[in-house]
Amino acid sequence: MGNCSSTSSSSSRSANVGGSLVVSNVNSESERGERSPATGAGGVPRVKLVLLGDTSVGKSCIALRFVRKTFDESSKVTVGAAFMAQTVKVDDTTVKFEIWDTAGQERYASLAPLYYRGASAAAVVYDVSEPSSFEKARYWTRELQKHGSNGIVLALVANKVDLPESARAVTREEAEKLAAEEGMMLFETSAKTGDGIQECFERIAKAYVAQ
Amino acid sequence: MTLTPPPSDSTASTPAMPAPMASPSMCEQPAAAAAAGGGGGGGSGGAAGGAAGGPVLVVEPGPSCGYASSGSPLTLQPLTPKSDGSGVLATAGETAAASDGKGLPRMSSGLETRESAFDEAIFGGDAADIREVRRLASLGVPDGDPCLRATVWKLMLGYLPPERNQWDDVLAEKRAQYLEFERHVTVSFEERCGGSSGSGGGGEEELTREAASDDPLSTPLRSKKKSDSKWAEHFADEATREQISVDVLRTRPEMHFFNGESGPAALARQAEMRRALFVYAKLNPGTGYVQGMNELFAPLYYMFSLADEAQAKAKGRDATAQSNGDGTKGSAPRSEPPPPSAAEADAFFAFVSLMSEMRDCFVKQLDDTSVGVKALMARLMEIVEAEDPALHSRLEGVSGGANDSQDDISPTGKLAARFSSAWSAFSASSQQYVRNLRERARGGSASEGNATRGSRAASLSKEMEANRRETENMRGRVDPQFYAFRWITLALTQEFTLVDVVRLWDYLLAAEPLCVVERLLRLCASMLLRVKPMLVNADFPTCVKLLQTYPLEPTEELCEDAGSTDVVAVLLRGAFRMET
Repeated sequence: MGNCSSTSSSSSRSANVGGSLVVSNVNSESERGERSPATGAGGVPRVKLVLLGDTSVGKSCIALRFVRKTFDESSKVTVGAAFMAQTVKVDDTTVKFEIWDTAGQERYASLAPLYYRGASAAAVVYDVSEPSSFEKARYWTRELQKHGSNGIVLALVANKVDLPESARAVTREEAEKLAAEEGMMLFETSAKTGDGIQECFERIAKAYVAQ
Repeated sequence: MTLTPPPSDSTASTPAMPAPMASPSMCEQPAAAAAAGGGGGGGSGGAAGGAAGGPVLVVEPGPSCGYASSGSPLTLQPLTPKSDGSGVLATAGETAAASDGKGLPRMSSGLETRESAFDEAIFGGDAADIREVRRLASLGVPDGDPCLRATVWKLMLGYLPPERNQWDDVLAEKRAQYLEFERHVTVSFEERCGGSSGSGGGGEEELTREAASDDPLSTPLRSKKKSDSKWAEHFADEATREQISVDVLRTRPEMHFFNGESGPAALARQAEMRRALFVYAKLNPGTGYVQGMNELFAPLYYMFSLADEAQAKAKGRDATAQSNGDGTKGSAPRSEPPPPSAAEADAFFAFVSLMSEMRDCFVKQLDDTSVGVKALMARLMEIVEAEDPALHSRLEGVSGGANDSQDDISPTGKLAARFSSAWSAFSASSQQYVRNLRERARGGSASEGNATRGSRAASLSKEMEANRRETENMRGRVDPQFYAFRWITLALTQEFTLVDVVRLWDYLLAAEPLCVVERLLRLCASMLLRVKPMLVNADFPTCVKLLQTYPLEPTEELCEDAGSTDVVAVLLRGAFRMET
């Protein structure tokens, strides 16, 4: 809870105000077919979510923490993308996340469209101790604004907040500014301790359902 | 047993080397035209002899070095000596029989036969019979003696020449050459800035001062262009090192051999892997270091290290025996730790050779060309289609199979199905065309006209591709990029345990030069065919999950053969079947 920054804590929608998402939200009903509309067995809505971000910011660890509730510092290098599924309950609806955990290195960036195309949600991850990863987050955000589905739920995820404050190289203000400008929810997480992870996905699910 | 720690940290200063780069074989080669023997070719650098190691690598059937020395978690899987009458690959059954399940080689008659066949092929004449070695290795190298597999791999990758009397010289030369490379690329920043004039003189103080004046934050006193680029290179190198470091830490951490927490030997190995990958990245600026190369390097390095350790052990025994006899030799070996270990240097060159086969997969710019990884995935689908149309239909998300998933009933779905089959027809013919083109290009004679036609076909297929993608979600098409991208790029290293990878690589590396990838695709197709029963009726997420975590154990759904406990034998049988 406490890890959720003020940008998103009031309402997941509020962060969207002023962002280009508002515009696309208007169309989202009619355009919904563009997002993966699939429902699995039992009518549980399937939400395709893509994790994007620079190499070594913790994308795989976030996914593993959410899906398996574990932390493995030495998880393998991601090549291409890894696929995981996990259901989450919001209020009285259950949503099944189909998560594409993409490879972060430049060589693999050109493959990302296959994963974010048709995605209903995207989490752009950066490492709070690594300014270059925040720049990369800007890049991915722009990509998603340009090529993502209409009505895609966007989240900016500041990972590794377990690091001491002195190691923090990207300020909360910078992140809040970007999130507000781009109409993204903002989360602070630590895949290592688990802080903020569950909440991050739950709120994304909520935003998806609300649409 | 323990490898000696690396002689120096990779950032340690070494005398500046004048610019001349690696021998041609080490430098960038035009992609796709790279010769398989890339690492084996004429080494010009490095004085022969005098290098660490000297005469190594004598594969004697005698003192078998055995696997699984203490500390190594490698235990051979209890393989059932199942020669299930299928006939194909009966020899794999023999290989399997080589293990008694306790990680110790057992001298069964089958193993002896296989080992003596290798023995004959390698040591029967003055030169090893490479064709025969390849043929034998395709069926599997006996697991008992790591020295045998190491030698076979080195021969097949062109690192060792067939002529045995050249081995010692070649190894000494290559290892010395590697040392030169290593020294050249790990030049410290001070040396890079200070030593560029060619004079190494001036003393450390001066170098440091010069470097300090190049600090981008300091006031510019003179032309900064040169130093700027030096700084840029410096930062790029640091980034590469960091990336490699992070990846080496997470290379096969499940094995004591690689996991730094298991002790100093493993830490030393990690240092060696970092260094070798960095040297590769620096000598191949076109590809640089790409994540995943760590996974390709690991099996080579592991195999060669095991062999060297086993050999050192055997030698140690000999030395002890000898010193008991004449009392002179006993203590010598430990005194001077060879700078990079022989295994590091050997693995480096073997890696270069392997990369000449695999490199196109690592180059983003080639993704949409006929040699890039996407073309390979398309080729994989062709193989699957030829082998099993029903499986192919499922993967492509085309309805028409006996029982389709519930996703298939929508009108859009039917439309998509019709489109998809039209697409298949088109793609089959265009891919045939591209394949012809590729083969001609390999022969080095693709004319310009062909190239233009090729690019037109490519743009057409791009459009078709885009249309097809539209339908993907509702059709449940399982794009090969979702699983085969990793299978191919990493040559299956992340799909199997290292013990299995090593056995699969026997088959892969036994391919004729430039044919490794073709064999790899056959193995991939074989993997798909094995799990077909689990795929045909499954929905998209189930398929993707299954293929991303490939089942190594038999499951109920698999037919008896495919469900055999020895997954490698099953896959190899499948691949062989496709070959004939």
